[in-house]
Amino acid sequence: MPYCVKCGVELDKSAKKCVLCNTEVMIEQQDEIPPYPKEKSEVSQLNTGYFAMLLSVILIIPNVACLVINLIYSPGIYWMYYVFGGSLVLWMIFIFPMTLKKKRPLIHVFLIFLSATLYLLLIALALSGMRWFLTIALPVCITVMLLLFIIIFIVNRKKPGKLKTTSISLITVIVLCLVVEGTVDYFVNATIQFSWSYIVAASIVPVIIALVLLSGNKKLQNELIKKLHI
Amino acid sequence: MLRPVEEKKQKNWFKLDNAAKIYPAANTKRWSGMFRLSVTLKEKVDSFILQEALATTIKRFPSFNIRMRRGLFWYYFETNARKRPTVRPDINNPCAPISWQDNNGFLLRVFYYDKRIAIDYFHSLTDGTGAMVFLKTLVAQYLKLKGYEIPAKEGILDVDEQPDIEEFEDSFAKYADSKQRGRAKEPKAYHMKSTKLNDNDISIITGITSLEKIKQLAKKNNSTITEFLSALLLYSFYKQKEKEGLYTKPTRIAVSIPVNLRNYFKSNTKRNFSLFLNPGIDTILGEYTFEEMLRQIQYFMKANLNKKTLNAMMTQNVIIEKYIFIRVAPLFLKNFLMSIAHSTIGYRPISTLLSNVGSVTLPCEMQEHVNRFEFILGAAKIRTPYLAVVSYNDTLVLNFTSKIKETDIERFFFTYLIKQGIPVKIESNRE
Repeated sequence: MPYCVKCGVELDKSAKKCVLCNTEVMIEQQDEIPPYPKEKSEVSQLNTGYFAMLLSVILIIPNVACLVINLIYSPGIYWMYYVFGGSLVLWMIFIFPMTLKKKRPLIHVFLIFLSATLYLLLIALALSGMRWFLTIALPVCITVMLLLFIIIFIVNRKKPGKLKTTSISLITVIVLCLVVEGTVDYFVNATIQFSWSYIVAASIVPVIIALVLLSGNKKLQNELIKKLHI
Repeated sequence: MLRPVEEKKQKNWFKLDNAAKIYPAANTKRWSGMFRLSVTLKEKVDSFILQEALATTIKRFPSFNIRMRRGLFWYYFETNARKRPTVRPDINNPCAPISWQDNNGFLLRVFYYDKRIAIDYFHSLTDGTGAMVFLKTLVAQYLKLKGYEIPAKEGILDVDEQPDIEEFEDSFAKYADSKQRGRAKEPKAYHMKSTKLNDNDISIITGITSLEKIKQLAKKNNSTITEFLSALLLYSFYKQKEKEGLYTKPTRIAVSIPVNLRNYFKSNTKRNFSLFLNPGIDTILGEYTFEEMLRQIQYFMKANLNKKTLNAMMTQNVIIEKYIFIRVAPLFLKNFLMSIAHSTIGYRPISTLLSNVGSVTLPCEMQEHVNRFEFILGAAKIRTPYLAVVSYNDTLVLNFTSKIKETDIERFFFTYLIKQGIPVKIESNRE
């Protein structure tokens, strides 16, 4: 009869290791019937694919209705763009993840970017505002997407702590501010002159430095938790 | 005195009793309030005969021969006359979640595996005592069909007899009449830190040991077996808390112990009739030894285990469902609120739970066919192991159930017994 050398308990003859301490059993295995079979009763999961389809159909209804109303009452003026673009963005943000079995943040972000850009493009086309689309909307969208890519990539690969993740996110906020100000400036004045984004950067940079310093210093962290815990 | 029910007068629906009401509301796809009683025979189980035995036995138990139905305001049980429950091969994850349509609507599942017959009960049906009567009757019927002579005594019901009306009465409604309501306030209790298993998995760690040796050890400490085992369970959690910080809040460690109210109120019901007592210690007061914890539990049990105090606790629970604004609330609203209450305040005052269904007695004619009994509780919604205890002859079976990876509590518990010179055999469903 097998015993666990660490815990001192007797083990079942079919046991390969002690469940209490994971120590392997030394004695050779016999073909004994294990105390429980291998088959499991599966938890019936809500079929999210089906649910996503249902929601999609519900989302299509107002779109079709709007299209019909648009065609009948105001032919020639296509305000249908707004409804369609908005639904597409909604679908990408909320319903698309339900169809995936595994979380895929990079693809998800990219698709949201595509649909949002398409939405803006449709609005730009409808209002003949290609200029603001090309100079403000497109660069800002691309920047947001790239920054999110960078954050997701770093968090997934390097697994930085909470403090480092916060500092990376803060850096991206600075970059985003610079891009927004730059594009708006270019759109309005045709030159790029940074002003308020410097203020944002100046106030965020010390926080970033503090967080980075803090993240490398366990002792200081403990000291702060000790003094400041609520 | 037996008051058999006439066929015509037999009610074809029941209200859920007080303790039963929380379980359908708290039921989800991932969690159901289940527990399992199983028996290991000395020879391989014949599933065909078991199926026949089940069909006869379930007719004898009107409160088991039912399915769950939704009313406008409450759930109710309806007699499930046209269908039969089926037996099936056992699974790796006992006490798996139940849905009302499963198994032809019956709220119990009968399994067979090698020499074992196991029944998973939905807790709304019955408590440990009622479930044990059903299991014993089923096994007796099974053995009868195999050709053995088994008398209907020692808690085994005669399947040819008409059910007595007292067997499916709601004893809570009958006895809860105290002027005083409620119990002493119970502060928030410590919940251990741990890693969750997958939804499909459940961790079962069984320790098989000798009843006589545990009895002697308990006697040496001047306590009963339940008190001794609860103290040891509490001590295991205390050691776990020591690792996480004895003085970090919440500091109370409490073990919930179901009390069989049939011992205090005269009742022969096969439905729920039990209540929880939550003795514990508070580590804010300082360090404890095992003996001190045992004394705390003993004093608490002695102070609370009497008809008057139990009645006050029971009345508190029953009175809530009597409030008119609760009664007229539609079922979906009740479900929503009760499920939130269950997963928050329900687990607030307890760190763990120990349920002891006691020593199983069988008629001599049956004893020679039965090896041992086992009792498994469904895992808690919170991440903590629960302990279920049952004994038969000299075999005491201790069953830890949880949804967590770590086995620190179990290891401390069993190695403590080993150090006291009591041999323990471990079985598990874990890989």
